[in-house]
Amino acid sequence: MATLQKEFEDFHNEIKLGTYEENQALRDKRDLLINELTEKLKDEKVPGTDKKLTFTKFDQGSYAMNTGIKPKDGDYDIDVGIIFDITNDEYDSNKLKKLVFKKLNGQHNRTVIFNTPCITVKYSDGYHVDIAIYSDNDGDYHIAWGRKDAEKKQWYKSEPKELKQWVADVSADCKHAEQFRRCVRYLKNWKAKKFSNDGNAAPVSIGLTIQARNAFSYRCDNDLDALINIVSTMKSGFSSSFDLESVSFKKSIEVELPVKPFKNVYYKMTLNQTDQFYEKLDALLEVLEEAKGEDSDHKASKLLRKVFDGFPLVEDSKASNTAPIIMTGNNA
Amino acid sequence: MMEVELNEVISQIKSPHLISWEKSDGNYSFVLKGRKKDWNVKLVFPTNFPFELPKAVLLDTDLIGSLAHVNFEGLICVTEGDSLLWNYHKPVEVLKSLLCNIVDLLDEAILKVSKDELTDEYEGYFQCCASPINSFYEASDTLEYAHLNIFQPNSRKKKERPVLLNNRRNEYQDDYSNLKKVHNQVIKIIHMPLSEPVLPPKANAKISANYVFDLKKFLSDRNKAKLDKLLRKEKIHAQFFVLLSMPRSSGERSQLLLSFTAKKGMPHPLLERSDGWDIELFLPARNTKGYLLERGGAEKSLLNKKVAIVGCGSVGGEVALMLAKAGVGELTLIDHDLLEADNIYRHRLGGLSLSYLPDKQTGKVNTRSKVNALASLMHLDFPYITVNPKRQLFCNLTKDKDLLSSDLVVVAVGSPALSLQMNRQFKELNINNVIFCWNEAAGIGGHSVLLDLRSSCLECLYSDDSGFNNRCHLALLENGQKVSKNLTGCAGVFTPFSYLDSSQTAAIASRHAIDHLLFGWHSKAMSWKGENQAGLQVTNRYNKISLKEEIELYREDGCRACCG
Repeated sequence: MATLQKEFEDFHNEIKLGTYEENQALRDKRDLLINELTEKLKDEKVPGTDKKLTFTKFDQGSYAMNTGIKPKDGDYDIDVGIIFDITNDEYDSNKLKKLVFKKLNGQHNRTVIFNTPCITVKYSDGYHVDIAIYSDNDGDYHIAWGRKDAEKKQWYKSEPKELKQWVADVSADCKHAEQFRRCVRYLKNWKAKKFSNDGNAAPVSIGLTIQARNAFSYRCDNDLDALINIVSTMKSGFSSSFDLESVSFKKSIEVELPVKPFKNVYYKMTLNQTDQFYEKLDALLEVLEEAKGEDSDHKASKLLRKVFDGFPLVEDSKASNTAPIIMTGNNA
Repeated sequence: MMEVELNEVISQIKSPHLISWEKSDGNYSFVLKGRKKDWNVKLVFPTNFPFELPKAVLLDTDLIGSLAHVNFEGLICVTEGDSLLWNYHKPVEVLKSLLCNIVDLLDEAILKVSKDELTDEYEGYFQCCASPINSFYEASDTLEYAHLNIFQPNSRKKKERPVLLNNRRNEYQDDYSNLKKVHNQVIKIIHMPLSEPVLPPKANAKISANYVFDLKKFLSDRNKAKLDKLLRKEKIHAQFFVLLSMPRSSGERSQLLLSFTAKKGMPHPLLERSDGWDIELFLPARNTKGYLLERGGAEKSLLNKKVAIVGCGSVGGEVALMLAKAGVGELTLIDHDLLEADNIYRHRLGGLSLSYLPDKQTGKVNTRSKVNALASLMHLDFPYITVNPKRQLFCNLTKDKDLLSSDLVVVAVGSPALSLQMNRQFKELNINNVIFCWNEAAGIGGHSVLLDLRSSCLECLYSDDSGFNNRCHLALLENGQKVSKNLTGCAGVFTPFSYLDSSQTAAIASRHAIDHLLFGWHSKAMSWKGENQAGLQVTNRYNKISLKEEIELYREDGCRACCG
């Protein structure tokens, strides 16, 4: 019975991305952009009033939740929320988003994109900053939602800070919380290895985090068991739906955001995509369980390398110069 | 090994995986215990076992087509590969280990996660029952026409045979391949790119027209619409070709060319379902740029690099070929010399490149230049290279844009005086990345000096505190010895060295070039040394260094080229 706890922890150290506090360079990039925005908005007023347009910032996303992994392609993703000191009635959500877009656009070394949940600033040296725009609305945060020319563009109720807190509250015991965060990172590594980047083929990271948080149960010195429990619970969350196009049953899933607006986090995935998600999750669970049942650490690690990119290979104790058949790598 | 001996060997195998075995039809069948199921496997022994390993065949035919690393004929990919080494003195242990490896491979192959590996091996799965066809076609995810050269047999009863796949009509084939010499016809065939990988037909079944027809559901909406449009143009025929492709996890696409033939004319097999088609499979042998470079061990990132080689004698000519083989995309060859019969035993170019033909008008034999002969050879040898031959003296090319835009210049002129002159000229022209390489006489050794002329230069190697010194720091032979020979008088004076010497020097210079182009390395000198068979007077350095030595280079304060 393999646990490979040391290998899991080594693997985690390789893939994990530190928090802002641990990553000066990313923090600097975030601060530079926020300072630039503060400067460029300093003369702006809330429409129809003399009230200055001001905002405060807070960290959100995987850095803030301490569940980030190093990106494979070097495209670091920084998530930051900016909360304007306005009510929903004071400023049209789309107009405010357009203002932020306009203020940040036009620099030669970056591209600014108007996305549905945020404004994305992409830099040529391989990282991007996602800026989500909120109204403070007397403490009742709403996010400026919708693309530039989308029909649905308005202030939507949102609780980003509560979400961050919900994830952090997984356990009061830091050993438990650490194991949870490791498991989330393993799942994200699996997602990067097994899913295409095209469209919505891959489940969103916050979905994996929420599912892991819902399913997590601490297993002392055994990340493999903790992960098996999470993946097995995730798998049982799927239900069968009939697909008219292929005339067959396919697997679908809905996972509710644990804070307002409580929407399904996988709402963008098609039935085919959720079905693929299930298939890959099922294959992951099979590998994890096979690895657990394996007597040889070498073989167990070989199995885990099929689902995790960069999982360490345990040396084969049987492989030596006295083995009857060996691979030499010779050629001519 | 005799049959009796083999029986004895097999009966001695003791393994927790081995449940039972039996001999039938001269082969040995085994029931092996796997993690999830028992496996039925046959070992087919070659007559020279244990010097050659037996082939392993899966007898559970219902699983063929569902397991990675098991091909259409059931062959398990466990003893493939050139680099295996086994202890033929211990055949029992070898077989025990082999059976264990088979079980491990099959146990992994049956996992759901291994499905990707099987779809990645789609081509390999059918390799045993498909014929190869050369292809320059770059399969993308767009449904389109590919061009197929076909050989038309004399008899109308015989099938047309595919010869070559191309993106466009006759692309590459005229310059690079010898296909133009053969009479053949080019037809347009549909390339059907699936948007996701699919599995082969299950349970060892052959590819059928229905299987292919059903694959249309894996086309994107855009490609489906395009297919409908192209199919409307198709008339009834007794033979059609379809190129099937699907994505692999590494980004490349698996490809399979299908030849559909029927006894009478029928609508296109993608237009109407029919069981009346016989299908023959062809596997494209990729001649595409990226594939050839990677398969041949070249470096793709060198494709957009430009290197100029000044001096294309036995060292420079070899460097040119080595850099082309390494994948460098553009070479500028500068040399004024003609290729003579004298050269062929030590130059990369041999007798095939010599010309003995008289000019039709004048009757004069036009000797070929080294640079043009090298360029011709490279165009025949490499489909994706740009060669700029310049039969000029270097001094006439100081404004040449190909030279000035090169990422690196390799100087292999041999003459130290000329090399030092060029060293100064490069500095003036702001050409900074330069390699100087040369042989020493009589097989005593050779050198490659990789420089960034802003840091140090060739003259630094000829300088000390007091200024210029005509003794190179790298020298292996003492100066002032008579090392040149002549066989035919003064016009035939030459320095003795062989092709082996030149290719060793070219190898270290080429390695330097690649290190510079890929990693930006500079300021290094590499020397190799050979035996002093001629009994020449050697330097202290020759006595001190090992067979190969690399040293770091620094600017010499007394160098008048660097410090004015």
